Amino acid sequence: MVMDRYLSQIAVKEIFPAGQKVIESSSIVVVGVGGIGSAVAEMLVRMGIKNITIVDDDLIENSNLNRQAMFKESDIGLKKVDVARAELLRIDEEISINVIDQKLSFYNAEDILSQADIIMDGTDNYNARNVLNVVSFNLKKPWIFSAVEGTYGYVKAIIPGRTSCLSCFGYPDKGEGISCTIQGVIPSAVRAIASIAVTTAVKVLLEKEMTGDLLYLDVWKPSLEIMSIPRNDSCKVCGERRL
Amino acid sequence: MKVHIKYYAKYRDTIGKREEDLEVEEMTVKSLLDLLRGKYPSLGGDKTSLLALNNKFQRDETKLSDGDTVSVFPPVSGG
Ligand SMILES: [Zn+2]
Repeated sequence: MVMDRYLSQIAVKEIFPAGQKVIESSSIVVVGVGGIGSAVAEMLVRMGIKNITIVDDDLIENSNLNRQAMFKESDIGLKKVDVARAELLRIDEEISINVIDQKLSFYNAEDILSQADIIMDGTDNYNARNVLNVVSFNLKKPWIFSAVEGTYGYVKAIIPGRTSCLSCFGYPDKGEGISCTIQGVIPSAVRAIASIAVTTAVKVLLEKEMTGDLLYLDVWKPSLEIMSIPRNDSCKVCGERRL
Repeated sequence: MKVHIKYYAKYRDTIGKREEDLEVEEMTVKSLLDLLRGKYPSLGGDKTSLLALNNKFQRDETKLSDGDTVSVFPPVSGG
């Protein structure tokens, strides 16, 4: 049954022939199981990721249901990681899934991220992304930055030692940001950014993404911009001349 | 000299335009951002706005040239 599951994606020349094996043997950590994180986790498990860790300490609320994959009315009040775990196992009962019912912080990040081949950013604030940026750099783990609000969002691959990092271009390193419920976000933008994040992750795993360009997508206009972000020698996280 | 400024995301609404040409003195990326913050207070609310020069992010001290295109993006935090 599982054998033919991936035939259609293996037929894509960017994945064929060896890519599927790489996907299936990769370990992934999804930090934050909200709009982007839940869609990313679901897509990656459907594509054949067998080893996944999900990190979130939130409960499911009614206001999540317009955009967050896997969650349903009957799940309101339950822990996101518990429901996501059950749903991901319904998609593929052979996955190995590790659930962390915590917020990512400098206290737990090294433990949580150290086994990952790639880390997916499903967070919704500057503090957590700063933890991801600093700890991933120290561990030499690639991660995919993704963020969304309104009708637009960003995606960028961050590969320590090769690309620029989040701090190289001055992304804020502290603050809670403004939550999606208050700021406003269109569900289709969340899914579009999640789709690009998943594609970028697969490219990094297959060593076909080395640039670390910042992609900006607005689903309403619609428009797509790609900006190169050179490494910053003086970057306080990854710069070679950092103090 | 003349530079072409493009605004993205929420700045298009708060500033009320998508792009404009500005006549400026010789200046750096940083001083252009300061000038824009003076002109448009809504930009000043973000401690960090991201500036790309001709589709490439530049450090604050990079000097602008006549005909440059500068793109101004807000930070985005949602997920
Ligand atoms: Zn950096």
